[in-house]
Amino acid sequence: MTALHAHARPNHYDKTRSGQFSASSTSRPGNRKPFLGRCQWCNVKGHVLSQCLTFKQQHPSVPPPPRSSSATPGQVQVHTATASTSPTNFLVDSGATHHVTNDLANLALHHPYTGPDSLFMGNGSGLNISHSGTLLLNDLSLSHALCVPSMQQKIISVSQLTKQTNSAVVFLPNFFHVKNLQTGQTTYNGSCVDGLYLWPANSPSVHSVCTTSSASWHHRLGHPSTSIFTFIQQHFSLGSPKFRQSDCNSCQISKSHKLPFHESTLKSSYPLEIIFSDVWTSPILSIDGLRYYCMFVDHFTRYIWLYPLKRKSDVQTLFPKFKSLVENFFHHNIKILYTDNGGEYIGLRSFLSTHGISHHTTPPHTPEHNGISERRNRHIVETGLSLLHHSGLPLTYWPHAMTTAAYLINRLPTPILGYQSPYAKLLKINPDYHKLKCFGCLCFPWIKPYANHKLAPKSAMCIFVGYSADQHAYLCLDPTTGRIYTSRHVKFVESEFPYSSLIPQARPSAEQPTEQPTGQLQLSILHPINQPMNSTTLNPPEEVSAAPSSSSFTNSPPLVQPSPGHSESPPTSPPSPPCFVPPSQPDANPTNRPQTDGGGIITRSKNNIVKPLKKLNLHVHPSSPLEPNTFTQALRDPDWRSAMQTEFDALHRNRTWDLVSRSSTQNLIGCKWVFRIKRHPDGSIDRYKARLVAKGFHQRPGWDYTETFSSVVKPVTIRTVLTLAVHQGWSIRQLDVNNAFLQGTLKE
Amino acid sequence: MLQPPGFVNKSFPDHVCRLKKALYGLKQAPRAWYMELRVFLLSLGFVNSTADASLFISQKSGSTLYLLVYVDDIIVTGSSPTELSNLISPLLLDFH
Repeated sequence: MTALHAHARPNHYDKTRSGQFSASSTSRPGNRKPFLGRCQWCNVKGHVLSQCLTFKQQHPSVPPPPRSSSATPGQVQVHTATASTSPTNFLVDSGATHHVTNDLANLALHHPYTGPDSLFMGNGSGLNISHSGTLLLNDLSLSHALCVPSMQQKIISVSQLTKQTNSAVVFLPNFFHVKNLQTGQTTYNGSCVDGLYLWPANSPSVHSVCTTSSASWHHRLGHPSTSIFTFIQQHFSLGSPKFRQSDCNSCQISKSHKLPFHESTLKSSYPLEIIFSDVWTSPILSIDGLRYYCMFVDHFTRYIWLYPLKRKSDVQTLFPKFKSLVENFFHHNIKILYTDNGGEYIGLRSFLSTHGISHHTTPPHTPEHNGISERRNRHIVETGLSLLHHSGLPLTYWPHAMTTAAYLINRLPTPILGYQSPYAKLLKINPDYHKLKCFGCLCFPWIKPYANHKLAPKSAMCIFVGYSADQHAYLCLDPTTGRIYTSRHVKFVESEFPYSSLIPQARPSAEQPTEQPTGQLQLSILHPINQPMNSTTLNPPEEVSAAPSSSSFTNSPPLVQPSPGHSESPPTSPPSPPCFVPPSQPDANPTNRPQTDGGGIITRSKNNIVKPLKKLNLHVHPSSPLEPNTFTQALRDPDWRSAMQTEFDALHRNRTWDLVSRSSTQNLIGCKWVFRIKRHPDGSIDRYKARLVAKGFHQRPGWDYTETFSSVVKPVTIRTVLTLAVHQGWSIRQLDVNNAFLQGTLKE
Repeated sequence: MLQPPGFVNKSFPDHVCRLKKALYGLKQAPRAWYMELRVFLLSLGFVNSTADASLFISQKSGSTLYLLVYVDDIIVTGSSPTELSNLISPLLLDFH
């Protein structure tokens, strides 16, 4: 008796089986053909079970199966049988059209079942099919298996099994076996337990296949990231979703990258507690010969101090000055200095330790740790470049632009400080925005104090290049002379950026030599020096000439008439006396850049013309061979090889040693080759000299030797003998004994 | 002494050199040279000065020779030029 019948109608994907299936189904509604078989219940021809009146009378509570004819009255036994059998075992069922499992893990490859069909049981009720896929059982891979979670049992359909594996299933009273039809060999044997034929295999083997397939799916898909892989798994049911990317070594090795940096946990409670510092290198030497700037950023206020430098090593002199300046001003001490591992900061360490400042450096190749400095660098450079670009100034004026950029950034509100500016946070007063002017604009400083005589012009067309760091004044560049005036009394024409128009009239001789090879291209693009004079209408040619004339102001708008009494500065500052300070004050403040003072005297050092360093020229004969340090080096040179051979032959001829076998009681000393090049007085090579030298330091006194002595003439003796010889008129002969030491005979 | 690098005897690579003559670098090398020279000069009739070990004096038939040794540099002077050259030639022969 067949215990259980499982029927599906998967006609949407398997027409052949659907056809086979429908052969067993007999009377569909609307099927006009008379039924020729017998009823399974009353054995009367002409109707099926569902239409059997006898069945209905005997079992009024059981609904007849709606379509299937294969339901049998044994369905009650199914439930009794399921209670006694292990649910992990597959039942071999000849009445089932499909393999059925209730555990999705049994299906190695599966996809959600979307069809409208359901699994019909022996009592005619339908069960929902969740997935369909391939069932892996022992070595068999059985396709078209269905997963029905509500099933109590797992079923192997005999018809599917025989077709898919091309085998025959022989049912015997106590067992069954599966035979391969081609070879005739028995491939599987199963037993009959409690009237049910149980498939011999257990499903755990299938489980292992599933878990490994997750990793292999990860590999198969080309090592996608965990999130992507989990998405695919969840939506396409590939493997178990427990896979983590950290389990894949290939991913770890090939996808190693910098770990994300956590939010800095640094906390500072007052200015100067933590100072970040960095040195930025410009690719272009500035007009006053600067290549670096050093920046200090206060962590508490984010205030920036920026100092252009000639050399990186200037940091060592700059930092003590900076420290005393700011500590004196703010009455706080610098506690911590954060820098990268630059050598300029390594040189500061002794200073830092004596002044009780902890020096924190970043690990190598992680500039992110110095993030505050690096972000400020970027901010400054980008701002400075914008200023330069807008004003038309060449890149050689980057120190002015960067200093101005830092000056402005300090005065701009920042979200880190709750839209307060570093300036306001540090000095507790709001910055005076009205003081700010457009970088690089036309300006007319009051330069009467510099005038030679009373009739000299009281101003000149200048370019505004920044704010004086230590004075309430502006820096004005006179492009004709290259001189920078620090003036408080400046009139601005902020709509004009006259550098490109002023510079053709500036003395080319003053500008050209400052160009560096790296910056030459940009310079020539920015201000063509060969531009003809008539291209500028703003400045008449007489302004260039040595004789100054007041006509230079006639072309200017009336607004910019020089009015020394008028002040652009806020009214809080006294309008007089005019403070004019000579531009160079190198010791007053480290911010003072070396400005081109002295009315355009161009020195060699300004033009970066320096004598070559003598100490780098030690080698007179750079091409002459070097004396080898080791024996292996000498072996490569045939000259040295022959020199060694000569020495060895001489020693051999001299019978310096005998070859004896080693004895453990003897102290063994080493020897080495010493190579010297003997030169003629003119430097040419006389000969290559190789000497075998015993390592005398291996000798032990009293063991290897007893006495040492070297005959050295006392000065008294030599003076006496020579005086004697000179007085007596004797001839003096001098002898130089070759290989003197080799003559000595050893007794020890 | 270990065999010099590069010139190890192929048939006796484990053998060592038993030094019979001095080598540069040995502690006793200057003394060995001095003793060698001293023996030679004494055989020529020189007398080693007691005041200065590096002074050798030879007084033969009215002529006096003074010989000063400064490590491997030698100065000879004397009243008779012939005696001088008589001395130098065997010296050069022996030690040069």
